[in-house]
Amino acid sequence: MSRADQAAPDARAYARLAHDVGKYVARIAHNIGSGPIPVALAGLLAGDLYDLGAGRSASQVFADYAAVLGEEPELQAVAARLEAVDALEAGVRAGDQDSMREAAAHALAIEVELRALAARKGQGGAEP
Amino acid sequence: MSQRPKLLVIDDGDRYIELVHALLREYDYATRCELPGPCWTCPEQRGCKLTHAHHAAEADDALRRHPDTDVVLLDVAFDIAEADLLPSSQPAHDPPEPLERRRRLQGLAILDRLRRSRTELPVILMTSLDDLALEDAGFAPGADELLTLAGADAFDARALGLLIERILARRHEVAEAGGFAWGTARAMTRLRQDATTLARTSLPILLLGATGTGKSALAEHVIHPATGRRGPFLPVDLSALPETLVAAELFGTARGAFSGAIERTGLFAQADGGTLLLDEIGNLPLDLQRMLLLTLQSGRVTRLGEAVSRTVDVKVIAATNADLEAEVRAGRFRADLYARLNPAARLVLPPLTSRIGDLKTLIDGFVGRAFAVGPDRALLGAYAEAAGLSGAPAARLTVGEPAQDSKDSDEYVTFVLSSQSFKALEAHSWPGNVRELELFVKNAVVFGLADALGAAERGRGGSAGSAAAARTIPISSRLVGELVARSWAAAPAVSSAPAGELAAEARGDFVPSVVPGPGLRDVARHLERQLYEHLFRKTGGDFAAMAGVLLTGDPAANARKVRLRFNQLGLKVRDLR
Repeated sequence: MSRADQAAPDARAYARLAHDVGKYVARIAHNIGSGPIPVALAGLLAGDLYDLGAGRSASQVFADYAAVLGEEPELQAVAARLEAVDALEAGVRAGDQDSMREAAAHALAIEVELRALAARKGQGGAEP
Repeated sequence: MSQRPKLLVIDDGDRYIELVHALLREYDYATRCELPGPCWTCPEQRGCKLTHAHHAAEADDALRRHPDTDVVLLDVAFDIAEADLLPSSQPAHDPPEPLERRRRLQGLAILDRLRRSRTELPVILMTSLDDLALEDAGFAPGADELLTLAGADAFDARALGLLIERILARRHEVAEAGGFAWGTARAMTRLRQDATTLARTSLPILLLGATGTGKSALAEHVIHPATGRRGPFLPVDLSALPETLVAAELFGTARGAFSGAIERTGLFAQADGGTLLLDEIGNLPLDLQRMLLLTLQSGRVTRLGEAVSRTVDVKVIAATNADLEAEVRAGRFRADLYARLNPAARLVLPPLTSRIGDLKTLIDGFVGRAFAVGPDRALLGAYAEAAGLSGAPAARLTVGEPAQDSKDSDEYVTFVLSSQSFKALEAHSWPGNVRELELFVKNAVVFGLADALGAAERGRGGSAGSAAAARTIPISSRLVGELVARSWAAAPAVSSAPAGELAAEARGDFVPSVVPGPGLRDVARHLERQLYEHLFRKTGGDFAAMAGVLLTGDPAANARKVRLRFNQLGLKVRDLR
């Protein structure tokens, strides 16, 4: 059996969460700094946050993963951030600079938090 | 034609291509459509799926359309139909690898495929080792320096742009690394990586490899530039110096240090801030090995006849074709000096036969180098004029039949080597390694060109052949056979005849080969080397007997003169025995 086959289902699920939500939600956010945000990025950022795949928002994709995972405090923190991101949707879609900047900051934080959580679960090996 | 670098994005989704199109507009993109770019000005842009490759087959298509692609940006996870997936690049699974896992690691399978079809193409993998570890991919990038894991830079357009520029710059440097014959063998890829890594450290470098493998060229054209040092690169062949002069040469002398000693700066001091190549380190006399060891340990040199030492900052490269470990065991080389030369990280240049797959690449490079400058380029120019060819002379070599429909065939004189001749070259033992190959190539193309020039001059005023025919110069199998047969693999065995009977015989069967050089001095030196090699073999390495053939007068003094000249010519007893 490969290592992947032997890995705890939890660890793999957290790794996929880090990839499918953490990595994808922050793609465009990496390009949003303190200066003026190019107009071209508004639609792309909205895509990352509210159309992550098959017309589903990042918060919806996250909720699917989280439903089968434990009650980790990091997951609750990420859920709160995604709730804040959803609240900014109208502003982001309208190209409002402040809304975009705030949503991007949440997205980058989500990526970091989910990656750290996946790494911790991966290091822990098989869990009960 | 655009001179902008061209990127190919391979990603199942469209988000990434939208990002790079929005923010990386200084590049061209390899698309799968016939419309001229850039895509962001194209009326068909919205919803267009031809902007990038979504899976391996589309990547093949894009690379067929755009063989001039400079860099590939490759995603790892591909959420695509099973029919579009490549088999896993991981070891065979039993039972078969789950479909989802194949999708999540599809990028690695595409990378594996690219590595086999386009070895030289730089690939940026849009992930990090950490991400791959989270996927439990068991992926190790190995020594492939054309592979870059983008990590956190993958989606930051500014960082990604810098990454692409670094890769393009590195690729340019690699291609022009002093014309060093890298080829594509895996051992050479690893060697290149290790050499540039070690160059940046303060550690000495030990270069090992058979004669002709390119140790000196590696030191001068690759390692020294990679050190970033502003000082000079100074090579010294320790086998070419009389033992009595080695210390003075390396460390310098103060006036009056010994009878006739003058104020002299040694090579260590001259190389301060730069690099010193100690070639044939195995020939360093034992007593000087200690002096060298002290210098390496302290970073200070003391001139002969002086008590005061001076600090020097020199990158030391030691090279040899000898088995230094055996020399240590035999007591001819100090173990502490050997240890100081950093043998754990030694760089070993492989013999040509172990990288014979590079033969065509190396020949291509040597043909280009042969006609880059100097009298051979003038010869090519003379041929172009005699044959009525237009444009600046440039040459290349093909194996088999020349490609008649090549769009650039009007820009080159093409030497053609038959497939049979090429196979003969592949089967040759190449005891002189890359150096022997370069000489072979130069001889073959120059002799072939000289014949063609003669024919062109004889045909002047007569019915001229077509320009296409004039641009093709076959290299005959006979010429290839003769050149290979005359190589040093076929050098005559040492005669057992007494030295006194050798003079006439030695003079009688000496058939030198003339290799055109940048100056007459080079040509004469090459001929003289052949004569010394010939005499050395004929006399079994007896310098007095060699002197008897060459000189009149005091036999003992003549033997010393011959030995000195032998060294000055760069010949080594060890190589000829």
